[in-house]
Amino acid sequence: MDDREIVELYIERNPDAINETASKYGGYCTSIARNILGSDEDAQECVNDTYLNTWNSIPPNRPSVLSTYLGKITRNISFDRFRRRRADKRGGGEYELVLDELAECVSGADSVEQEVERKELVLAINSFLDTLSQDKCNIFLCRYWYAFPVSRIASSFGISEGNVSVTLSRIRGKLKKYLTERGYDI
Amino acid sequence: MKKEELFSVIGEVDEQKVAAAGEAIAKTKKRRSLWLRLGALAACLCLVTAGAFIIHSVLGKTNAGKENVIVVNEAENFMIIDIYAQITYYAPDEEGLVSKFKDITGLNYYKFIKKIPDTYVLGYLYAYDLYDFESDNGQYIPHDFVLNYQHEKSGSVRIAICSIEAPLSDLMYFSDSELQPSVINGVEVYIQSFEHVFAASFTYEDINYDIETKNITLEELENLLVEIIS
Repeated sequence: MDDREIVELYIERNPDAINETASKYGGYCTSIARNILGSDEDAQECVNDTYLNTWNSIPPNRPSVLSTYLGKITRNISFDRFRRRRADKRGGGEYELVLDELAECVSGADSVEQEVERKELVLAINSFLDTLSQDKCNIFLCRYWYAFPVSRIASSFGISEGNVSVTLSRIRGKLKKYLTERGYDI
Repeated sequence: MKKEELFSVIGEVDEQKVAAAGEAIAKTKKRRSLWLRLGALAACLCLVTAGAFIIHSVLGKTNAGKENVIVVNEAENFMIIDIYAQITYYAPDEEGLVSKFKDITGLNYYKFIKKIPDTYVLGYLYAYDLYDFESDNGQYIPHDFVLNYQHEKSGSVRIAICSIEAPLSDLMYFSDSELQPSVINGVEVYIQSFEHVFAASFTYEDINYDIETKNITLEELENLLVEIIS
């Protein structure tokens, strides 16, 4: 089933949408969650949350690229889980609980100014990515968007792990310079 | 800025770029799997059906006294074909690249890349060695050399060269109608289009070429072909 048909199932509120999504993109989402969390069990829970979140967000959303839409949700959920897990490991359980309880009192949304700044920063990073060759852009996003291990990137792109690390290091340096020159304090 | 914030902001970048990176790692993984299917074993997946077959005919520029005629055959379908091949990747300045290029294509590497306009940036290269099903002890036959270029804007070009037969391609475009040739510098070139892709096949000085472009204009393709066929 093609992506457009799957999205239509969501729009029609047909539960088959989730089965079709799981069948086509289950592995893709699991891979992203596992990259970030390093645990199959946690990854599977995040992927299940991704399906629920997708069900709740389409409609009103109608994604043009379903894979990236799902990937972005998986990435955000996995990252949130990672942060909670790390906080727990630090023994900050109560602190995190207190913060979570207080979170109910606030909107959780950034101020308009922060949101504008964030969007401008996203645009700046997009322009930076445009300055990279397609391969380097892909390597950067495989690492920092999909969180693939360096070894996997190396084997997939047919270059050594050292080469990937050096490439990433150079791109990070260029990104920092690019953003600093444009007034971002990173 | 905290590193977590940067990670989060990167999550918002252009989804087309993200999708391209996802496809790249999936695609290269498939190619690195090396042993796929070929010929009679090929499993072809028909993906898309497009509109009717249309021919555009454009009278092109004059080059060396020869008039170029560009005919674009709009493909109705394309297939993805998995190939049994061993792949060796090369960096543009890697040792062994020049001799491997010569072995496979019979061409001088430096002379060839000099033909490509400066608007294209050479990315990664690889050689395809085909598994020889006739041999008993797992022999590989050098087959294609592939150069991948990035256009200075946003397009890309993949040039596959083979001296013994048509280069391998994991994409095959086809239509029900017979393909009409273009003529570039007196050489017949078969150009097909599908959405934002052009695929051009030709034989020049007994060497076989397949060129696949993405997000490149027809004029840019013509200019590229004029340079290669000269």
